[in-house]
Amino acid sequence: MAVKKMNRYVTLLLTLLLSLAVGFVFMLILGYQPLDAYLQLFRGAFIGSVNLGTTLQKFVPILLTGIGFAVAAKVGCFNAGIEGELYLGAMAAALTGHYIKGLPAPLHLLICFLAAIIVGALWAAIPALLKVKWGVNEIAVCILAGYVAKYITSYLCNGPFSAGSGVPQTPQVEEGVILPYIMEPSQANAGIFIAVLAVAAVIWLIYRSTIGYKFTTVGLNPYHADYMGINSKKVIVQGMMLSGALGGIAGAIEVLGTYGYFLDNFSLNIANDGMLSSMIVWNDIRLVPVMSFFIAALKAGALSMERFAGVPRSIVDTITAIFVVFATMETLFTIKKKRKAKSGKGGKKE
Amino acid sequence: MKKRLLAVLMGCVMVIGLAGCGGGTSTGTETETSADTETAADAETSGDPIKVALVYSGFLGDKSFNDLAHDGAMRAKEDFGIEVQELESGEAADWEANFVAMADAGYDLVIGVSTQFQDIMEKHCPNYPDTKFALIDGVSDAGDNVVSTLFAQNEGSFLTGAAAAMFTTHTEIEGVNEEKIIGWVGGMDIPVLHDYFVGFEQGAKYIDPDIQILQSFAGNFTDALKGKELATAQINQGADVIANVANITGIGAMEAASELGVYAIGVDTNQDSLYPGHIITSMQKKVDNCTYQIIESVVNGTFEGGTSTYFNLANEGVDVTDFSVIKEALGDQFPQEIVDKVAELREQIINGEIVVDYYEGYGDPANQ
Repeated sequence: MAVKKMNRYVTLLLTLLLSLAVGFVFMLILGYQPLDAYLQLFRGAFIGSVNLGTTLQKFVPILLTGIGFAVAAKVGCFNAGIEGELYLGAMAAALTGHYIKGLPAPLHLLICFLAAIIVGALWAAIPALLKVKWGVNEIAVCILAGYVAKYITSYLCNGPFSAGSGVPQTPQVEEGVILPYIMEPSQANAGIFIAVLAVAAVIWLIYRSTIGYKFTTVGLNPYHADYMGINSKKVIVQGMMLSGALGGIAGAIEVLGTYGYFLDNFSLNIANDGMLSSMIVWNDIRLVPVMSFFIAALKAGALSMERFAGVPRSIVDTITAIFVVFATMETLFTIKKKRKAKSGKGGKKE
Repeated sequence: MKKRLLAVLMGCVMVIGLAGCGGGTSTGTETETSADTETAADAETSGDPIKVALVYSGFLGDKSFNDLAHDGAMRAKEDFGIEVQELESGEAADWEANFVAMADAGYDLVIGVSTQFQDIMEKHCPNYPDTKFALIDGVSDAGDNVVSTLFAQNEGSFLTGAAAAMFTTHTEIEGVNEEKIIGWVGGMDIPVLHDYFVGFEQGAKYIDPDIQILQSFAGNFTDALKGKELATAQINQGADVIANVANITGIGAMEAASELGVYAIGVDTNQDSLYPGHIITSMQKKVDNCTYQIIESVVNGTFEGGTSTYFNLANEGVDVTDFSVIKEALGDQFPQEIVDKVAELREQIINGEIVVDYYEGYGDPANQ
């Protein structure tokens, strides 16, 4: 087992180098200066408080949505709709943050987060329920529900809850619930501590509690779980709701920490990055933080690469995509090997 | 597995080798740029070119506000040999990050092009006391390193309102009906648009107190179809001149006017030639002059933070176009009295005989 873990890290490192190399060649072909671009990428991700802060600020939602995706994967669901849960959670936090007044700040903050968690969890419950009741493919429902969620929030912040300025946003939340910036002048905020706590709780839940054991069992084989007396349908819904709740928390932190209001279309596919960071590490919850930090650094660096080296940031998206392709290729490879080993032992089933 | 690893490894080695070859030329440019950033702070003293950054809340190529600011900056670049960096983004989520990145990168002057940067600047400008900032089309009291610029859109709109009110009485022109109704289509229902409307209404009523003005807001600046729909509705209610203050949405409004054979009024830039023969005039905001003057003040050392400049008819910050396109299209039918009257009204506003009303929070900040 230990050797296998080592192998994973080596594979990860190699795929990383390979995708950076492909990105390098891409930039050469397109006529940019790859070395200059990568230098700017590095500087833009780590050097100086603005840059490092931007990396941290981007890290938080990618981490939470990545963990959320991995949790859903634990129960065998592909939650492609975290973006929607993030948007709705963000909107819930923005509205409770602005319209509830006169409460002590800690209580108010708790209400904001609870609202985001509930909304995110309920939204994620829709595809889960459809899946367990009628066998509807959850990926399709998730993707579609994601669009619906996004347009709902877009309508709300342009229409009934618009701040009335030239920017499509809701009014500023109350002073008390704002998560303070920790690295001025960047947008990095105290939400990172909440995120770390949430992630620690999830890791404990998955690896140390009976709930986690149920999740894993259902994810591996729902029929077996049912046979063992675990209600797999219930567990799948629970898993998806936990996943959605994490998306909601990510949205709440973006609103209460990064912006202070709900900004239309603010996420720009954060949840997709989270999803990718989870997929690259084979949905291994303990590796997701590492990978999401790396992706956040790439994202933050890409901004500065675009600003100072003139290389469009879509190049970085290309690199990430190549990364995912290579990483999943390796997974295919290991799965194949496992199957071979099984059949070798004669333990053929199905 | 081993073979595959080896192949991947070899691939990496090859590419890194390539990187080494290509590196020679690129490292040169890198050191150059980083040196620039370091010295930018004391650029004024050492005689290096002044570095100016423009941050847009949209994209260049909009044939409107942003393009005008770009033109002004380019003109300044030619005249003063400054360095200009521009950052565009249509996503509101990028604006703050872009602005902070430019403020942090050691530019001498960072310009937020649009009123939408107001809150962002109030939040961040105090953190960079050594950098100069400018907000175009809004008032920011962010600190004494920030200048604001305001436009007297009410004065410009007064003239277009007057022109529209005169035009709608000329029933001999094809498409103009008996009714004295004119239309006005706005983007979002935000204060600055009300400042446009106040002037427009006053101008129209100055010509004819009985005139009826239809007012609609589209709710956004980006939906041309919505603009077309609203304009069509107003035209069906008898409006034969549609003024727009709605950027892309407004393009749809003007299209409706041209398709239904009536007339429209452009905004911000000279839009007269967009639908030639159907656009009477445009109310111009001279964002290019404004951008140029801000940069000029930094170059000359006359930059005075904490102040706001008011661009009105008197200093040619706002104006209307010369009606030449519509004149050419309508030929003899075009009533010259409109041009003469508008010129007369312009003089009267400049010398104070006519005082144009403004919406709360606008108007000349010097008088408040």
